[in-house]
Amino acid sequence: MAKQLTKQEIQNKSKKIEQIYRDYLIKLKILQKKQNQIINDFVKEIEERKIKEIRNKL
Amino acid sequence: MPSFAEKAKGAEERPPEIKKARKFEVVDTPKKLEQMRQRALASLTEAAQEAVNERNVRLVSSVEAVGGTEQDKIGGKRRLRLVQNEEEELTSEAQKEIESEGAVPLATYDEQLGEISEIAAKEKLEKQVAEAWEWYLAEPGKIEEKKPEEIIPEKEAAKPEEILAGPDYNRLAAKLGFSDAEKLSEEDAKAFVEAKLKRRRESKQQEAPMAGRGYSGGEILTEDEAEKLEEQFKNKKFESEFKNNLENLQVSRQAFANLDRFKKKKNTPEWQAAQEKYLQNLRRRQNLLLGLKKSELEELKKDSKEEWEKLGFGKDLEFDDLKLSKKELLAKYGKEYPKRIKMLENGIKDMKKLGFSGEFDYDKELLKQSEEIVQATMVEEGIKLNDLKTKLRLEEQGKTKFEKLKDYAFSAVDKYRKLPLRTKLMYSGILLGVGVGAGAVGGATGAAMLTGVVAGRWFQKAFGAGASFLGFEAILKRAQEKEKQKKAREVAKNLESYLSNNDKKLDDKFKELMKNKDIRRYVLAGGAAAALVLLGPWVGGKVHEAVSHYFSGPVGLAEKMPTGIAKGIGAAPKAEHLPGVSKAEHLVEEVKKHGHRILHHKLPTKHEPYPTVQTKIPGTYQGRDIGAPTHFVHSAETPPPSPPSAPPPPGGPPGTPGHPIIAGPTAPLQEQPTGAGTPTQPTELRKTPLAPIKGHEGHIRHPKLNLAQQHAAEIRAKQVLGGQPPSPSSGHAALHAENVPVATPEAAPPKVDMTSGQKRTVKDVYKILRGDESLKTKNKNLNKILGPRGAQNVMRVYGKGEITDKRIGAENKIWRAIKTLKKRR
Repeated sequence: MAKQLTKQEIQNKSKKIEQIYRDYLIKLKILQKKQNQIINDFVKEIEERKIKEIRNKL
Repeated sequence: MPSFAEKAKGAEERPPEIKKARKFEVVDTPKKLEQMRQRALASLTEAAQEAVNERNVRLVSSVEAVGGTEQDKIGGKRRLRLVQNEEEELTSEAQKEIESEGAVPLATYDEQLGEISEIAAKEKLEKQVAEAWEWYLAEPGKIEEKKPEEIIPEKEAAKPEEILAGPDYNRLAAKLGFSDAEKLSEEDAKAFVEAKLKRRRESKQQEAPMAGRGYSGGEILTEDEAEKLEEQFKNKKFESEFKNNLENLQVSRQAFANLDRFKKKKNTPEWQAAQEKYLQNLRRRQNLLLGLKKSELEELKKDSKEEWEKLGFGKDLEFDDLKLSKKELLAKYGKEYPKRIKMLENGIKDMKKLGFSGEFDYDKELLKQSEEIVQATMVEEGIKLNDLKTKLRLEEQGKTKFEKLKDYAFSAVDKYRKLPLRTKLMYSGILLGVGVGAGAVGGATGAAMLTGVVAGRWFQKAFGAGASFLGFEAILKRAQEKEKQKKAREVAKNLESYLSNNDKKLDDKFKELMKNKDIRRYVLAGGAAAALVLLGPWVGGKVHEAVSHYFSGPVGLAEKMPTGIAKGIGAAPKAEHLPGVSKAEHLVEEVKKHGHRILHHKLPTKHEPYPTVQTKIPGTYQGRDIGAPTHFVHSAETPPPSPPSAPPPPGGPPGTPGHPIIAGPTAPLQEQPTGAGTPTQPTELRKTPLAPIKGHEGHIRHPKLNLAQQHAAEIRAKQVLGGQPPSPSSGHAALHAENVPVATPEAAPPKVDMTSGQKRTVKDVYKILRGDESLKTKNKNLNKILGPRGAQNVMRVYGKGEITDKRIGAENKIWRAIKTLKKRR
């Protein structure tokens, strides 16, 4: 049988959960930036490729 | 269980804020903690889903905005896979951490519901207790009527103590299929439950209803796929499946919502205007890369970031990121562009000045197009495209490219030959200047001028040869006047730099120079010098050396010129290997012929002009001008047609004074000119066999004798052989026969038996010609001796500059003139 939690323990746990969630959101934001950068680079590549195609057609 | 008295006391002491605590603002109970944990987990999942959705929408819209294909979208998904994995890992870790902090572990969905029911039961209990306390406090007299036991919930409901104590892992393990779960320790039971739940969760994800239908978990959802799924969902075809997986359903709904938003926005006029603006900018950037006009460059500079942001870029879809940095773009192309265009424009102006557009009727359209292309695109691309177009056109006309270019080169060389001298020099100088010396742009312009690289090379050869011929002729004809032409000489030297720099003032300079007759001569010489210098690798650096050395004196010219000419002209026969260059070769032949005449004229007495003969391959053309009479030699397989009894000439060469063969009483030596004469041959050359001469079949020509000398030698041979007619090798045999006196080249004129009267006549004529009288007086005096026609003949030779002081063969020419006169008489 599990041990009964005190109030303090519960509060600590709740704070920790909150902290985990906040950290997660921050990390997710960082990942999103990384993701945006990848998309931007990729789109730039497409754009350059298109420009090259047009130049070759002329 | 506390007694009512204790409770009542406690209730009195309880602060009024306790009710607010029920709103879970402060997590101080296991129930609140569990609720918070569940909320955190839900939020976490929601955030992860939002990130996925945003990624989908962003990728799809960005790729579409720049005109990407479906393949590009798939490629984008692959690029994002790494981020996607990281995100999933992050979410999973956060979930685990939150779960580990909670009182109740995350169970299966049913179990979770069971836990929630327990919580609800506890809440109900607490509520009843609270109500009881309220009742007690409000109406103390009725406390006994309502016993606390009555409000105790059902027996089945979980006991608060158990809930607070946390989950019974042994019980959960039993539920999850562990047979002897009760025997497990608490830790083992917990580990088993967690492992089992994890496995179940994973298998659920794999069996997600949307998996394999275009969308599974974190994969990118394209617009088409989303539309398909949306349709399926609307038709309730897979509704039951969706119901079993709330997570995926939520993801889909979120994606649909985002797509709807995107579509709505896409249809607004602002969006369309922004899109159009973006595409315009894209086109402008393309144009810039292809050679934007100056005005457009200025316009591009005007655009500011604020204007772009007003249009909505850089906010929602962040199109700002898609833009190339204008600063970078301008830094990269802005400086180079005006310079490049200016150079191209100059090149095209030169083309127009030269009249190339009207001169060649081959294809004006092609020329026009090439101009446009050169202006609008990179030079290389222009040439490539032009080449391709030429090929296509020729294929349409049923001729191969090579054949057509050959014809083209023929006609163009013909036209070139008919042009006036000035134009020829202009063409050759400028063409060579732009084509060889002026770098990439000039070279490309040269190629564009001729609309064909192959034809261009042929032209360069032909023009270069023409320039060499004309230039050298001019140099050597006017050599005697060089001291009078200091100014012109400087200009001629400067012309070299004008040509090499493709100076646009060249035309004006030519006009100015051409006004002065004397200067014009040296301009021609300078033009040739410049052209030869610019020919660079084709002609060889020694030509430049030779030409520049010329200005320091005729001796220097004589030393340097043979090698220079040999190199310059020697490159031309390579053109024989090219089909269709025979006409260009004609020019080269002219150069050879005239080059010889002039060279022969200028050679000093003590000089070894042909040191490289020894190394040349026998029987082949050695690259020397045709008049330098040693450039044909026998091959090893064809021995000289001399009689077996004729020994090789001992001692010095046949042309040396005192040679035993040629020295004899009947061959008196003529006055030896000083400062000029036929050059002596190197030792190796003395043994060189004689060879037949082109155009003089039946005769063997001695390397040191001209035709007149040879003719005399043949007559002598005839006398020696006893009146037999001269055989094809008789001249040669006579020259090599023992005790047969043969005239040396220096003593060439007296090859014909001259009477004393004749000799006197020649001496008299010479005397007259050497005198300081005017031409008219000379003619009059000659008339007295030779008669009007004889005087005319001699004066004609003299007037050509062929009879000068100390000139070898002058006497011979005079004598031939007299002889001709006599024959006619």
